[in-house]
Amino acid sequence: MHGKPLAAIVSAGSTKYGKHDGKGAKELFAEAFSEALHGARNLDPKRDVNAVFIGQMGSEYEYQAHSGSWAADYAGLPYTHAARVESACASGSTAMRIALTGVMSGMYDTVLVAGVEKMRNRGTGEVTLYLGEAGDFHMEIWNGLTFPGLFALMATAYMSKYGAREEHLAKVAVKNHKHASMNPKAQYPQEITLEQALNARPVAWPLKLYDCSPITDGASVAIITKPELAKKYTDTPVYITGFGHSTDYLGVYEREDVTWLEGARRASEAAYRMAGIGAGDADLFEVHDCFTIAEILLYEALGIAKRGEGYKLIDEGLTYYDSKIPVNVSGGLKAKGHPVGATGVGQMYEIWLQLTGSAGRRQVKDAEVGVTHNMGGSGASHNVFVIER
Amino acid sequence: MRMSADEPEFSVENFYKFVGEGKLMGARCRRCGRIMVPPRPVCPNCYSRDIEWVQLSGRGTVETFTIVHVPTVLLEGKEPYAVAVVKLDEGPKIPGMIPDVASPDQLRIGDRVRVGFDRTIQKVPGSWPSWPRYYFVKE
Repeated sequence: MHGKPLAAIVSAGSTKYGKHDGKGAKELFAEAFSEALHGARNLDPKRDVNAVFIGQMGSEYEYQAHSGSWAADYAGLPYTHAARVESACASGSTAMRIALTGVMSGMYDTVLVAGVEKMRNRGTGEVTLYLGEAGDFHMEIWNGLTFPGLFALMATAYMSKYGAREEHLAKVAVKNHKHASMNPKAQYPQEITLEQALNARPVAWPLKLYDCSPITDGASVAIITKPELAKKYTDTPVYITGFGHSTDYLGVYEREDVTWLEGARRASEAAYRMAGIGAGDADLFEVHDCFTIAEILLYEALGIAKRGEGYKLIDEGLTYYDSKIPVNVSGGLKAKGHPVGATGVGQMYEIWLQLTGSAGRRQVKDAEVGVTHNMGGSGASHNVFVIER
Repeated sequence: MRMSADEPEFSVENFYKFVGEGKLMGARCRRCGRIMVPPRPVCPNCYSRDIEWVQLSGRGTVETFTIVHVPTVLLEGKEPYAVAVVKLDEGPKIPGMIPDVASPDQLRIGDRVRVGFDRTIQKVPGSWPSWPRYYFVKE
């Protein structure tokens, strides 16, 4: 291990990501919680769990806010510390950040960290409006933008500045669908071809259907504890050894260079520094590919590629699960699915599977160091974690 | 202390009220000169509250753009339309629709645009916001 263990992930669980008719956020959470609970040995929540933090972006979908309280109750803990945490699409990893600081401070021994989003009970126009709340609603969404539109602004500028083409974006989608084909919990496990991606209908030019992550129901849960307690609950704990966070301007229009995710650079550098690693030390990355352009911009901001050269990495196929720098082996938000508030915890679920050698056909050989990057909105908040075994 | 007590509040709400009067207005910090669009009551640069309304020329340059084909419920039926980030000649950048542009070959980064106003109150689900909308046209 490179860094000092800050907390241990002793178990995790996740629903399948997709369309769950007849199940709401409460039932999805319960399902993920149950899987995480059964993966931990000798864990009695009523005795051992001190707090519950649940990431969830929207309360509009089911007209249900106050999710800390119902989640605690569904976990059999009606009288505990809990809160719903909202930081748009970075809600899940923000719940983890708050849980982690609670453990590091000595306030809590063991914390249940969850993320959830129920979205498929609403139409596309409604979901697009609700997701717009993560941008600058009053200037951007009111004036015709959408989430695909915001990332399209970055893509147009990036292609113009660096000479990348639509096929580079499409190649990210092809890769992540290939990865999802090996993930039984992925929403879209179908492999796609480059032609399919390039010929799909436009959503927000230059982004087309396969450049966009889908609308997804799902929940993910992780149980974290103090490092010295980890072996009580599992023989194969993984450890968080670094984390970093940064905000950025809420509106894409406010940023000096729309092709650069400065908040992601700052968050990742802080996380690497804390863990004592460089980007080159990571065996795999789960990054926030809400749109294909985001994955390319994140190659650069996370130090995997040089500024302006991220598209070359996917062009050369270097980020496949069996290549040099595996990125989004789970299928990413793109093909595994993006239940907004769950995504940050779902990324940790994937790294936990990989570092414990439980990832099946998509297992990255000898994975020891994993990095997660979860982004809020159109890049206005970023959380990066380094996880090691 | 804010010295301009007779000025309307420096708010997003009043920004759109001016849009309804056919004006694109920003707020200028009298201490450091920062122009804020939309207006803010406190300058994020020097924290002054000594602020004044300034009318902007509404002319600027396209910095980047997209063509939206799947809008929110606010604009269903208006697609496809362009939205650009426009760098105003006074310095600040703002996003705005270019309703006459429906295809990427009709617009380029660097194109000059000027503001226009749709003063009709837009229909929204629910009771708020009831704002008009500014937009841009190619010069």
